[in-house]
Amino acid sequence: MSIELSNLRKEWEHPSGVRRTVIDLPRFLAQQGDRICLVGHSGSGKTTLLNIIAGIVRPTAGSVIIGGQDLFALGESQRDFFRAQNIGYVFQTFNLLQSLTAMENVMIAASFAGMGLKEARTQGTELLSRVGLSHQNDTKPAKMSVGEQQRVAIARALINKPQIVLADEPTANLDQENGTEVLELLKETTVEANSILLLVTHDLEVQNRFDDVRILAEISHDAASTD
Amino acid sequence: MTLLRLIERNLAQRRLSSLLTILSVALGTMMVCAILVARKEVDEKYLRQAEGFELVVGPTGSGLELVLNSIYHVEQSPGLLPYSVLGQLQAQKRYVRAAVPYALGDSFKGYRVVASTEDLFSQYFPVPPGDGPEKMLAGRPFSCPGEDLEEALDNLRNRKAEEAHGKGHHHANEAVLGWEVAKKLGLKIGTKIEPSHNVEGAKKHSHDDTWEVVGIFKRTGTPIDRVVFINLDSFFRIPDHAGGLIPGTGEPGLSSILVFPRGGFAKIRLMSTLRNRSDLQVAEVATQIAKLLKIVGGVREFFLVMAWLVVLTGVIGITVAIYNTMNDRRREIAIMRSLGARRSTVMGVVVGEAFALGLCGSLVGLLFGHVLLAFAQEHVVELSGIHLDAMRVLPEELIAIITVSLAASLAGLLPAWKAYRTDVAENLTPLS
Repeated sequence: MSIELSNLRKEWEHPSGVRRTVIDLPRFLAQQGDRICLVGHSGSGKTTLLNIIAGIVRPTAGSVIIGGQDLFALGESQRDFFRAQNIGYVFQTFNLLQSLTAMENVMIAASFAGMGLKEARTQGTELLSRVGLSHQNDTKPAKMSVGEQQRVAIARALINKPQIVLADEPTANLDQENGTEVLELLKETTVEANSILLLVTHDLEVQNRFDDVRILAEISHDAASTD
Repeated sequence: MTLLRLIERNLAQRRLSSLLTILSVALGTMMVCAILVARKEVDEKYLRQAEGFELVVGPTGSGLELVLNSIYHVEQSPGLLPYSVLGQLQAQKRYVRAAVPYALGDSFKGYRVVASTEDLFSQYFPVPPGDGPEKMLAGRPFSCPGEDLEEALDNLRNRKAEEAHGKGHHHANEAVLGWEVAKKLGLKIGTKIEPSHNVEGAKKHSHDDTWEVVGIFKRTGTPIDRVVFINLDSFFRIPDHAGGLIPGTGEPGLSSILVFPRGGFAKIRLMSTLRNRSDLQVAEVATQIAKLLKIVGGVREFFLVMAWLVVLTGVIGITVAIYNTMNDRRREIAIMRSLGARRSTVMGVVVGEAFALGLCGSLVGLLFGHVLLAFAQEHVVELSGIHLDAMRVLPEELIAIITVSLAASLAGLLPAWKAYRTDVAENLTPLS
């Protein structure tokens, strides 16, 4: 599985009618097993880029080829299923469903990928154990610490054995100790699965833990236009 | 399964709102179910309980009132019919198989006391089926010897009731009880009972007449189960019943006569003959019941429409309850979409919540409806003589439950459409 972005551009239209280009990326390539830290300042379009790769946001122009498949050539429903099966997404704000337990939060992602209930439970149990939360299977997010919540989110992102893991500022809401643990967990699990880890951050500490650091402003066509 | 759990958890999270919505649907469904069952039970039982009864002859007035009084043992007796009519009918053997007189006026602990003759135990009297002892659960039919009856009638005509009473210790005062009377009051063969005057049982007789229970009818599932039958001669011996003489004629009166015509044209000929008389009326049981069901049917349909409107209000409540949560749930929807949930899946969750509310509401309504019927049972018996089977569940009720659940699902489409249109990126995280 690889990620190939070509001549990717995303514009947002302000209510005033003025169009603003937030992404203008001539080329971006990530191969299986890459662990990339994508760096950019606030408003540089990092999250938008991840959302485009996830198939959530349609680019204004350019192509997004994931594993040889033109993502936006797929219908919306097919793209949703593709995302469920191939892409794990970890958010800055964890984005757990508050009404469900840790196990159910993990299992619900499996249900969207068409995994059977029994297998989902087995995988969920394994993953929660892997992230050190085997004792919290039936705990709801509100009763967990932020570090624990992010670990649940990582387990959820990994349950469908995705080839691509997208992480959007996953440590931004965590203290240093929890942040380090979560980061290591993300790296370890993606190394084990030999999947692509694409993590965006503006945190120098986080950047220093990656060998492949790409600065969004430098790889974009016109850095000034995205500021 | 996890989606079902999500639906359950979403509803549980808004517990109060969910419970109130379920309750509002349940109230409507309760009314629908109760009306459906009551309608079916009343229709069937009114018809079934009248099976085998063909004509009722009584004083002029309302035919429906006469039938209700004579067959269902409700309402007041419309008046008195000359006793001689019984003889006239019995004499028409070509047309009449049997004629069973009824004289009403007393009650025993809330149950009606009806005086009749031994013809009550003939094979022609349809409930309980059988002839003579075959009708009995215990004991035997009462006796109403012709000479005793004639003597009582003579005494009554000659205002010698007091004397007759004084001398009449050798005459038998006998009672045969309906199944329910015996069971509810715990009466056994040989027990002496003392009925009170008038059907409400408000007045006691001015003397101490008692009747010996000589028999108990088999269970019939008809109003007969709630009647105390006594021999007609004993009825006419009660001094208070001297007032039972028809004013101006001096003739003893009967409340009604149940007539069982022979087959073929006998019934038509008999009705035609009786309709020419101005001193009585003949009511055809089937016609009167059809008339009653038509009158009651219109009222019931009105209440059924009202009940469905209450259901509709509850279903609209589902739309409102879910729609009002959609703004707060945009983030939850965006999260699900980001994990790969299709728009249709998200819609399905919302519609599923509406369906669950409708299904729970209608099932609770079904339960409430039958509890309501169980509580109303005694009252309905008093009013109509019909014993409702509160535990009976009709296919129509199941159809009502499916209808309510489907309507609730449709009610969920509006908020589901809002969920469908939720923008994922906009509601997931702020743009960086």
